[in-house]
Amino acid sequence: MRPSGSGARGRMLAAMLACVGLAAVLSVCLGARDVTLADISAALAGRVDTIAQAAVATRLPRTLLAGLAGAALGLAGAAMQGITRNPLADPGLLGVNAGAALAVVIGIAWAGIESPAAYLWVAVAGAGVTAVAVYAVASLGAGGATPLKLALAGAAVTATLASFTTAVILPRGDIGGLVQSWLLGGVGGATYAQILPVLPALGLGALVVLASGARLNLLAMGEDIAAGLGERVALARAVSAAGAILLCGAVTAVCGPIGFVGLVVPHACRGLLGTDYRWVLPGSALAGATLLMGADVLGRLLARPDELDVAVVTAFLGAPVFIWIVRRRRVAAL
Amino acid sequence: MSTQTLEIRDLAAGYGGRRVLEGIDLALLPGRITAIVGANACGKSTLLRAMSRLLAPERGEVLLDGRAVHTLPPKALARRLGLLPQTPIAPEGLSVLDLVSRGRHPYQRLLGRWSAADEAAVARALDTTAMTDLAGRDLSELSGGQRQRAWIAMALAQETGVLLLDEPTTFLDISHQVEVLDLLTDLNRSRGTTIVMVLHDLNLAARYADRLVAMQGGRVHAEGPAEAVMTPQVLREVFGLEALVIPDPLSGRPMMIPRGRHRAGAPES
Repeated sequence: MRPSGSGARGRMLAAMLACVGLAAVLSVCLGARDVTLADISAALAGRVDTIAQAAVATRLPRTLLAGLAGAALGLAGAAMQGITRNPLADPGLLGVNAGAALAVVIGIAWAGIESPAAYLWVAVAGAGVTAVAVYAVASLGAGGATPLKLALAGAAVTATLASFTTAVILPRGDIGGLVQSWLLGGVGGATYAQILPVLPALGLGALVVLASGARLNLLAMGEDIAAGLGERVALARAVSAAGAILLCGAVTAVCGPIGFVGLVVPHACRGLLGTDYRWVLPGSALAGATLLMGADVLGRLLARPDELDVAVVTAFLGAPVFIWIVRRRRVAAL
Repeated sequence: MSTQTLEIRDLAAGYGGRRVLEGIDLALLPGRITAIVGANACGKSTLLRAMSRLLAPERGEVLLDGRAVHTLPPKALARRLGLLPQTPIAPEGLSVLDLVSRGRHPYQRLLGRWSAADEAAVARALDTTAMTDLAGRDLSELSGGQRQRAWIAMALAQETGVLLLDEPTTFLDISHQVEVLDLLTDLNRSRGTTIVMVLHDLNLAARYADRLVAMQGGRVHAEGPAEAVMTPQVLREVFGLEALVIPDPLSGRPMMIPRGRHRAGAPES
């Protein structure tokens, strides 16, 4: 089932938008504490008189953050897969989120930064340096950055960065708790004050990536064809990558590293919407938002009255998909 | 579409310090078919890449209607000069129509609308290549010959006066090789498109091209009509091949038969 007309794809996007709405409603209504409809409407109206209403009130920014972060990771994953022509490209697998995380941890430990607004630019810088480093390592040797080499370079760099991160935290008992909870990757305890500072970066990154659909379509046909059709290949790659890195850095600054959303979502969207990135990109944003809000709800329900961090849930959901992609015959080409 | 002149002056180019092309001077006749031939690694594909600015020249220039292609804005060049690389790859699940539509990229502006001219160019390209009935099919479902026709249709939708093709017949059955070359000749006749292609098969090159360019060691060794280029002497110098050249009984164009070491004498009794 692959719709060819834009009518069918438009209806599919509308359905995906409805899923975002549904996931948001579930995210507000469901959680560790059972609440009544009256509590929910009271909380939406801004009243926090009872514990139930307060619980709902904390779910609102959390839902918003899960939606924004999911959309950003979905977009970033789709863009990275398009730029590298690699079905395994994902902000988590390529080490970009780990790079952002290490940069933030270093910032916390050595420079004493302590707000998402300050995390933001440190995270973006870390994400950018890591993306360039992984791509450079994978490009070494014959054949350039093949999917397998890129995935291996990403895994190696991720492992290295993770041990650096541990090395930075270990001697610092004073920041250990703060950093550990942030590093797990979650949206719990989100406040509007945390979300607000990264909104401009998220918005700018999303705009840049959404506008690069036509360019990614050309890159998908190989450098020579893209150049022959009048595209500046290096510039097109750099601009789209900058957008994706901005998104990854911003999300990691608030939520910590969250993997697999950027891997799973674009594949699902290609199945539903076809190969055209002008449709896959907005679809990935919507599906990413749905997935992360859904994973967050699941994490709250599975471990009641406690909760699982959303990154743990996405890893459980994403790992089988990763294996499925690797085992497919045509992993080499996208 | 006007025919355009393509001229190469004292061109030298290569990869990372390794010179592949040296002192190429060549005027490609507008509205004609030129085939570039030569042994492996003689610089044929590199010449095509330098002509289409996939590769920047180290010295010299490539002029399209008197302007250096490396100074033209990329999209402006792509509206005048089309390129089909060797064995291009398409993303999984791409339809013929999607592929051919991407040939209109040089005409699109940021956030621009798909115009009636775009629509007409795509329809014409599909019609010329007899791909209209297959427009909705996935590229991966097509035969090798059909797939190559789809890629040519994409290059046609670009509506350029010059079309460069790097071994458009590689990996095709002989019947599909002839089909592709017939199609390119139709194009050349009906639209006046200047066609420059790298070809492996010498006899097909001599049959279909108005002019042959024989390259050796990064230089142009011989250039001219097939009769002047496909001679026993040039074949010996360029390919190190002893061959008999006779007129092809169908077209009268030169046809070469390699001598080899076996069965080259009179039929054994």
